[in-house]
Amino acid sequence: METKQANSQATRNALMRFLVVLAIVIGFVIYSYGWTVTEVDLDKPQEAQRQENVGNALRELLSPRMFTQEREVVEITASFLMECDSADIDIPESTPHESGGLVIIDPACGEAGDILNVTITNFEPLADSRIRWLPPEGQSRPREDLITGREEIVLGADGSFIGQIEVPRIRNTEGQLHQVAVRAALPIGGIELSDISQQTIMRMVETIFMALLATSIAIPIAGLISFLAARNLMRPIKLTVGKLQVAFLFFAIGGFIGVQFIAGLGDFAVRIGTGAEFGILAGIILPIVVIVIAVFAMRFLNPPDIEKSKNITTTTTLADYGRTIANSIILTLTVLLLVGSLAGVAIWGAEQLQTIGESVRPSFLAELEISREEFYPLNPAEWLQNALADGLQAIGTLLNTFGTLIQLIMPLITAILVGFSVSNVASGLLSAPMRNLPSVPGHIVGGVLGLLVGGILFATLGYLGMTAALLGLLVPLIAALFAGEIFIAAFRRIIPKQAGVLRMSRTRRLVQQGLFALGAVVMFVFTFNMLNINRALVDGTLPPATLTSFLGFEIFEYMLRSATIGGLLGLIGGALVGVNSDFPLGTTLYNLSRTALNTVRSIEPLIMGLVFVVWVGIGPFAGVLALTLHSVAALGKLYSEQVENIDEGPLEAIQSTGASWLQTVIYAVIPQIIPPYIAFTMYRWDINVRMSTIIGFVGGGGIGLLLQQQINLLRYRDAGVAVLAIAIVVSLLDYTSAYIREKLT
Amino acid sequence: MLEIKNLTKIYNNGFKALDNVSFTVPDGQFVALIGLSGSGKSTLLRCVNRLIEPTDGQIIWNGLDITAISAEEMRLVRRRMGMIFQQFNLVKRSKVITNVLAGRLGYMSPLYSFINYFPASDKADAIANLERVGIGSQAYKRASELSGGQQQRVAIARALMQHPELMLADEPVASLDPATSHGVMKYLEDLNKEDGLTVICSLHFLSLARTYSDRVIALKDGKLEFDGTPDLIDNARFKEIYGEDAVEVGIN
Repeated sequence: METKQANSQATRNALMRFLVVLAIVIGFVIYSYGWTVTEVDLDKPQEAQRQENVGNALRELLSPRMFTQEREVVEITASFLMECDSADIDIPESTPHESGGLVIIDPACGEAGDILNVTITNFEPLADSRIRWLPPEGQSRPREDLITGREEIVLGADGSFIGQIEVPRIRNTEGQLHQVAVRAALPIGGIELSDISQQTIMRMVETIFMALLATSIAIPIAGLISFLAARNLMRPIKLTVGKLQVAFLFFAIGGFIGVQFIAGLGDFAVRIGTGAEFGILAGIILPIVVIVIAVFAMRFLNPPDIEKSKNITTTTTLADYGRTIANSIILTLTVLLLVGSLAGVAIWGAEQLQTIGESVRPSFLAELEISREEFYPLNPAEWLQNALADGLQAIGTLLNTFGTLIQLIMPLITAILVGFSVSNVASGLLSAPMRNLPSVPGHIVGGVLGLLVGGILFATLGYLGMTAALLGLLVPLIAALFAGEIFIAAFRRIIPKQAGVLRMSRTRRLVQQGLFALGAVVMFVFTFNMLNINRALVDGTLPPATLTSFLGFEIFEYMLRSATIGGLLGLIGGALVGVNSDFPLGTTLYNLSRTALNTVRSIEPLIMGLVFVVWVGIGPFAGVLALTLHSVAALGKLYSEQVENIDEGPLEAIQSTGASWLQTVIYAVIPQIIPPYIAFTMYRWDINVRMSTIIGFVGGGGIGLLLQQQINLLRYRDAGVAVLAIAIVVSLLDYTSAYIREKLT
Repeated sequence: MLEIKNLTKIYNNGFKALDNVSFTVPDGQFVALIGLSGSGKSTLLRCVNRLIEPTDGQIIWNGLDITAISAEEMRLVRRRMGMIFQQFNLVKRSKVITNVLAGRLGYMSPLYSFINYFPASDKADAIANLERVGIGSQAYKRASELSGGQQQRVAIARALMQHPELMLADEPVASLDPATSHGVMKYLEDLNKEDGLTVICSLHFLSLARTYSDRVIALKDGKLEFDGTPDLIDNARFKEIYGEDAVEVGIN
């Protein structure tokens, strides 16, 4: 018996070892294939031409044209007679230049192709010079020194040089005097930053600001999402199915009401803010009045200490309902009026700033509409005025952008706000009656609500599906998920868990998983065929936009079909689970936000940049948008991981005092995550600077644009300046952010 | 009165932390909860305020079955139950006073929490409670600057802000040195004797249970092993609760 066991053990060990060896061999083959795929080739780099090219490119990149110096050209000449015997002309002797430089050629006459010795003496020491051939008429031409084979020649420390040039072939110049000129470019004046350096600095500033803007816009958005994407915060959040259905349904209704009837109020507030309705005074007073009224009303409705009584009240009175409704209405109106009027005031303020800025600017500049000091050397006072005007107008532009943006998205703000309020009130009012529903009506109500919710949800998904083929997959995918869950729910109703057995048995779990897969696959195939998604996916033809009428509404036929599927699924699902079963809302939100973050994060900012360039045009704005979107996803993930890493103790303690979820987050989570949030924001800014240096390659502005232009023009010395600047800025930021992060954590 | 009936908790990994535990605590009693690590003391305490959802059984407090109420109602019930922890569980980066005021959160509308607003009367209460536990002068320090014993006293002050009727203490002195331990236990005794709070306190040292408690409840592997006055625990009982190899050590 024992030997048998030992034997089987030995066999297993041998098998294990064999499998390991096999895995290594297979791994090696796959790895080798990688070399072929990536075309590793050691021959090409050895070609002489390539080596020379890369040498030149590297030499120029490493000799960046950072500085320039103005130069003066000094020329000394010697005469040369083409065809010695052709004319009876005296060849004038070379005379020394006023600086003492002298060039002598030997022989002083000859014919094309002759080799001449050139001797330069007493010229500018170490000057960079060139030898040029000046024919009696026409253009001069460069001559290379035959000894070094280069056009540029460098004079010795005593200003002397000895070399050889070849006489060029120039027709019809026999018997005439030619000149051999040695030109030296002598530096005069100070060393200055080259044009490319100046451009590089301007672009670099642009790049740093792009990164700053992208990071700062991403912070609040990512901060909000990070709470949704933190498992520890979201997992405990559960809602009854009925409450969720009511919340969703009334969110949709509220959103509709908001857009249809209340959006005008927001626009009205904007107009009051700009002073278009009742003058600007009303615009400025409105937000103040709104805040004061809201604060007083809220204080009146919600005294800070609601219940001090010893009894635990679990029944909600009519007054509580009234308070809930009043609170919602006040909050909605306050936010709408406040946001709208502030946006309006911002637009008005922007205009004023533009005007004030123009009046501050020195008058001659204002008239010329030019503010660049390099055109007009300004005295310090004028410069200051000009800078002040620029600053004021920059603030004005910023305010105007904010105001206009809010004005543009006012319908969206209204829809979300009203939707939330209505859904909040409705779920608050209906939660108690729903909880008290007996079993059978609970399932019936669940089914009816499910029908409505499923219909609305899938109509929306269907609408999305009409815009692009891949989005069309959303409907079958989500329908599949629903169907899988419905199969599990049905199974649970038909064969309930045995009483007393608290853990799910393995078979039961397997059966459930199998049923989920079955339901999902069947539903996916069914929906896929019914909506004819094949067509969109294969041919790229989007679904037909046929209109049909449903309950008096004009609706796309495709949306209606999708809504029918959703409605049926909602009906069955809702009826199966009833309004009073738990729905893991937190986990669902967690999964949704994580999926969204990961999807967006996996798209490179360069690709996003391409799309944004199409939308907003070439320039830094496109780059900022691309970087912002990517930063939101990246920061959202980093932040949420910090939330997941917090000390759970305080969370537990704050919860045990009876604090709500929101209060727990504010008092136990936020104080803990501020330092890591700052650290990761710094890190992200650092990454954004690095990314914005290349986003210009796709037209996203910044220094990348400059770099790409110089590389395309084969100006490697100019490109070298940009490369050097990137290296300096990135490494500086790297050190700074590392230092700050170290200080913080 | 707190009645615990057939309380059972099985964790998702199948571990049975509490097994059919039943007992009744009349108002005003100081109950010490003892047992080995992993015997279910912490789980029991957390089931009482439903930080952990019990799997089975009932907890009836002042006639209300709190295992049957909704999460929102439980939130209201929790306001009347203070809890202190072995690791104090203060928000270390916040000020002491903020930590104490957090005890009022259950009574505040969440809207005020956005602007960190507390009424002046609550602030005065917070200072008074800090003075009661002897650290009134530390109110505006960061919680992390305080010593362990002081932090636990802040935690007591936070629980007092809730005006609790029941105080749950999960190993309140296990992270403290003996001298500080007695200090903290004395404050709990005060609350019990002067304010008439019911205290349920899990403890490692039997000597502390003997000194401070009216009644000892011992758990072993999630089951109720002993329930009686401290003087009933002799050497034989001790070995039943803690195992054959255990020797009682004192803390004085």
